Amino acid sequence: MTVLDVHIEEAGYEASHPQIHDIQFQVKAGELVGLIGPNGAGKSTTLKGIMGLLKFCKGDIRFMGEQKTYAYIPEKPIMYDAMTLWEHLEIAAAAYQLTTEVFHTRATELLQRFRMEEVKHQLPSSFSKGMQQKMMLIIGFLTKPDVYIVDEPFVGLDPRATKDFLMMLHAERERGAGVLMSTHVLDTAERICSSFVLVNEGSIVAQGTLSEIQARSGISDATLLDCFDALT
Amino acid sequence: MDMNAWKLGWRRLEDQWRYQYRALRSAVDWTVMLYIILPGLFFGIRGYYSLWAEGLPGWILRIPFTVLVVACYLCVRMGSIRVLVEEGDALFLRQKKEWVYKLTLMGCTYSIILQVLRQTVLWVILLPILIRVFGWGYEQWVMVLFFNIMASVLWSFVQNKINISFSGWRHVLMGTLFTVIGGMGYTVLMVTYAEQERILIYVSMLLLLLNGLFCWRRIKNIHSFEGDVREEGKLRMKWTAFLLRDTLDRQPWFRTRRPLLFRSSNHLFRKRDTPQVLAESSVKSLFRMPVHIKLMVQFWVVGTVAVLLTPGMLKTFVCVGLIALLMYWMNGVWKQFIAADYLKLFQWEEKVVLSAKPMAIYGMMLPLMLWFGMVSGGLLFGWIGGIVALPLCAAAGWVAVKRLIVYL
Repeated sequence: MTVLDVHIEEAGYEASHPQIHDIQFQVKAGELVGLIGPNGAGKSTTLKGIMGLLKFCKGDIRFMGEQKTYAYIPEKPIMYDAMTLWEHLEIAAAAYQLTTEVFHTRATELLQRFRMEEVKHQLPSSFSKGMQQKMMLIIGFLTKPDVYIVDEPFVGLDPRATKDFLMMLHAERERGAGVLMSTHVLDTAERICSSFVLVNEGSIVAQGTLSEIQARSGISDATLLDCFDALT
Repeated sequence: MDMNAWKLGWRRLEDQWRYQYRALRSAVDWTVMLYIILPGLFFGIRGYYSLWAEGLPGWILRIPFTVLVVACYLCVRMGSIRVLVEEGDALFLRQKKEWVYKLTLMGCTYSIILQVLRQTVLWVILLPILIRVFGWGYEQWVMVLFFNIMASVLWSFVQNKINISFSGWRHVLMGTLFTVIGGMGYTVLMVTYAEQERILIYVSMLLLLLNGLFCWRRIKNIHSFEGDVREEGKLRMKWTAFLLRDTLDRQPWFRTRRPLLFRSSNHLFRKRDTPQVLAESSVKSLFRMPVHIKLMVQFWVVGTVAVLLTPGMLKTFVCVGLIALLMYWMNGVWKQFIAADYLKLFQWEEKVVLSAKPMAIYGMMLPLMLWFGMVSGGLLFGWIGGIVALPLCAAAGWVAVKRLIVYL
C-alpha cells in the first residue's frame, strides 16, 4: 500500500526560480526510501515541498495512509527555549490528539529507550547537540504516524543512539509506516534502505532498489557511492 | 602575499571601525543628528569657555569632591582590552605563535591608547573646575591624570582576565567583588591622596609596574582562545548591541537546566485537550522568559504609578485602558508563540488554534489584570473594593477577551 505519493512538477522558494523539477516517487508501507544527493542537490527543498513549507510548489502530494499523518524529524533540532522536554512532548501529543494514557505510556517508553528519562523536566536548550537530536527522534516516534520524513538523522547522534534509532525505525516499518530519509551517510543508507531516489541539480537521476540503480549506472556490484558517481 | 602580523592587526582594526561606522549610519538619521550635533558642539564649546572665563554657577561650586571621584571611577571602568583574535584564526593562525603575540601586543597597545585619550579628554573637561573650585595646580592635575590612566589600564586587564576565566554566576560574583573592592580603593586613594602628589606618584608607579606585568602575561597567554574570541565578539558588537538594545533579545546572564517556574512541567489546566495544552504552553513560556518578565515588571510599575496618580473615578478608565493594552500586547506574544518553527513540525486544525487563543491570552494577562483591578478598586472603595474587584476583573477580562479576540 502506498503511504506517500509525490508528484512535484516544480518547486522552490520563489516562483521565478524553481529549484527542483519533475520529482516523482512513492513510499510504500514498510518501505524505507533513501533520498540521496550531494549538497545543494535539492533534498531539503524536496522534503519541504512534501510538507507544504515552500511558498512555491506546483504538483500533487498525497499522504495516503490510514491516518494521513506524517512526522518530520529535522536535521537541526527545533525547540522552544522556555519549555521542558516533557512539555515539548505534550505539545506533539496534543497535535496528534493522543489520549493522556497513550501519551504517558509511549513517552515514558521512548525516554527510557533513548536514556532521557532523567532530563525530562529540563530545558532542551541546555542539552548537548546529540541530546537535542535524540529529543527530535522521540518527538517523531511518539506520534506513530503513517510516514516518517527524516532529514540527515545521523548527524550528532552517538553510536548507541544511532542503533536505537535504527531499531525503532525497523519496528515502525514492521508496523506499516513508510520512511523517507534524506542522508549523506551512503554506506549506512545502502545497508538499511529498501530503495533510493538519487537527486542531482534539482532532478531525479535514478530511482529504485540498489540492484536497479547498479543496472542503471552500468556497474554491477558497485556501491551506492560508485553508482552515484557514475550517474552524475 | 605580502602580509604580516602588524598588517593583519591593522586591517582588523580598520574593518572594525568601518563596521562601527556602518552600524551607526544605519541606526541614526543624520539629517536629524545634524540638528542635534551642531548646536550641541556650539553649546559645548561655549559652556567650556564659560567654565574658564566667566563666573561659575552655584551648583558647580557646591559639588562635593567625592561625587566627582565616583563619576571618574565610572569612567575608569569603561576601558577594555582588545586582542584582535577572530574565530577563523583556529584554522591556521594559532600555529604561528609569533603572529598571535604580535596581534595581542597590537591590541593591547590600541586599548591603552584609547584609554589614555578617554582619560585625557575627561580630565581636560574637569580641569577648569579642579583649578577654580578645588584650587588645584597643573602639576597636581598631571599626577592625578597619570594615576587615572594607570588605574583605567589596570582595570581593563583585570576585567579581561575575569571575563575570559569565569562564566555564569562566578563571573558575576568576581566582577562585582572587583568593582566594589576596586571602587573602594580608588575612592580612598583619590579622596585622601589627590593633594599629596608624592604618594600618588608612588602608587601610580606601582600600578605602572603591575600593568607591565599584566600586559606581558596577557601577550603570553595564548591558551584562552575561546574566551578571547567570545570577548572580542562582544567588544566588536558593543556599539551595535547598544544601538539595537531595545530590539534584540538579550542572553540571560545565567542559565538553569530546569526552569525556575513550573519546575516539574506542572499543569495549569486539568483538562488535557489540544487547545488547553497549547494555551498552557504559551502561558508557561511567557512567564519563564526573562525578556517578557522584564517588560511585564516595567509595565506593572508604570501602570501602578498611572493608577495611583489619576484622580477619583478616572482610575477606572486608566485601569480599563491598561487592561486593553495588556490584551493587545499578549495577542502579539501569542502570535509569536504560534508562529514558532517547533509548532510547524505538526499539522494543526484551525479551530483548535482558535479555541486555544482566548485561553492563552487570558492566562497571560491574568496576574497584571488582577493587580490593576485590585489597586483601582482598593483606592476607590477601600480594602473591600480591592477584594471585590478581583473576581469582577477576572470575569470582565474573560468576557472582553472572548468578545474582542476576533478583532485582534
